[in-house]
Amino acid sequence: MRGLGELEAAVMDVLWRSADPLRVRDVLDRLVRDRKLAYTTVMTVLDNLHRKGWVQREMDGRAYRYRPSASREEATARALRDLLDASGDAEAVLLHFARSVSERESAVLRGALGPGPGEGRLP
Amino acid sequence: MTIAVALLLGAALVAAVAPWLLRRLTRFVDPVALLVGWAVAVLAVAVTAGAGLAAMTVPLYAADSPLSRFVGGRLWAAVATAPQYLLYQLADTFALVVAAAAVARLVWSALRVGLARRRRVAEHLAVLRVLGDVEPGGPGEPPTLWLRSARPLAFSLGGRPGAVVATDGLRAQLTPDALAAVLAHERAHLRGRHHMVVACADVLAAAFPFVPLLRAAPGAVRELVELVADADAAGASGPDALRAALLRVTGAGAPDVALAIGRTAVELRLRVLARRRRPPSLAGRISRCGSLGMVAACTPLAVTVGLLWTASRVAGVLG
Repeated sequence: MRGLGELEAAVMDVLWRSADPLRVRDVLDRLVRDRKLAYTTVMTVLDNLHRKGWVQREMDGRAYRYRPSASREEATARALRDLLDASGDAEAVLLHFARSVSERESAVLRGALGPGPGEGRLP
Repeated sequence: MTIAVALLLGAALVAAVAPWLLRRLTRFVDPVALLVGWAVAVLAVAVTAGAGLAAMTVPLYAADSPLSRFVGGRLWAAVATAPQYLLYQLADTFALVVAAAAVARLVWSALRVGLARRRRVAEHLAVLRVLGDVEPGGPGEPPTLWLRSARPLAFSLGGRPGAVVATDGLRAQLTPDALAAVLAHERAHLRGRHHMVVACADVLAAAFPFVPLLRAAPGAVRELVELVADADAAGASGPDALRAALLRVTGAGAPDVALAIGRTAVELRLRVLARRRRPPSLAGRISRCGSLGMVAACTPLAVTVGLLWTASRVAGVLG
């Protein structure tokens, strides 16, 4: 299971580095690995990633072309929001170095404090 | 029966008062010793309550004769002569039902809270592994997962193996010394199995929320493991680097938003760090853990004996 996770990470890395959508064959060629992977393995991994929503695909001729659903930065921001801001998950599963104020909380606070000098300077 | 009731009352009294006392000590005592104190207090209350229930199930007078005679002859005489067979039978059934319910609640809570947490951690880790760059740790140390985010964050996820997660934003905002202190803090959480300790406190609190000692434990334990990890990190990277990191990450530069949440814990940590002179010696730590543990372990029994003594005096005065 963990091996599969690593392979997913490697495939996503290839897709994120590429400017264009890639076919299974392209991904296979760009994967740097100790052992040679089977075409069907990469196809299965891409299929899984598609099912989980990590990648989008479109038919190009007789093969699918895959590209990431979101940039790595966007996906990271979303994952951190899921983990830290939504629900009580953060409190339950992780130990924080120090709780800085989350985006949502600071928005709430800004709202509660009324328009301040910081307002309007936000990106 | 007197002894059973006294044991249960003793356990209840300690369960109600101990959290208040332990909280008072947080500022002054080695956090490791306090964690031991909490654990032993919980254990001692559980054992005392269990002994009380067990004493209830012992048929008739067997449980009462030796100790009651020792504690006060008159009360014992009253107990022995009263027609209490039915009462003892009821107490027996009551004790068995309560004990079974307690065990069932504990098992249910461990399954519900513990398994759900394990699944959530695995899910989050799977996602973060895809997103981050893994930096292998030193020998015997967990890897660090670097995420591309501007938010200055550091946290650790438990499990085997756990992971330290940090962001580029943190690296950009901190000096190398402060960053090293933060990572040392997170590694201390994993090395000390702090996630497991917190999970145990959560499971107990979820199972018996009506026991003050257990209800207070999760919050106190979370605070204490932070202090323990701080002490480790301060030993590795120096207290000043850690203080700088704490001030920076909690947004001390933005006072209007920084008053939000978790400030008290951070203030406590800063104060403890400021007071810190040198790392505690192992011998001192062991002796502090031992003494505090002993006190916590003996308190319920001492309270029980005190109750029995008081009861015998009262019975003496009345009779």
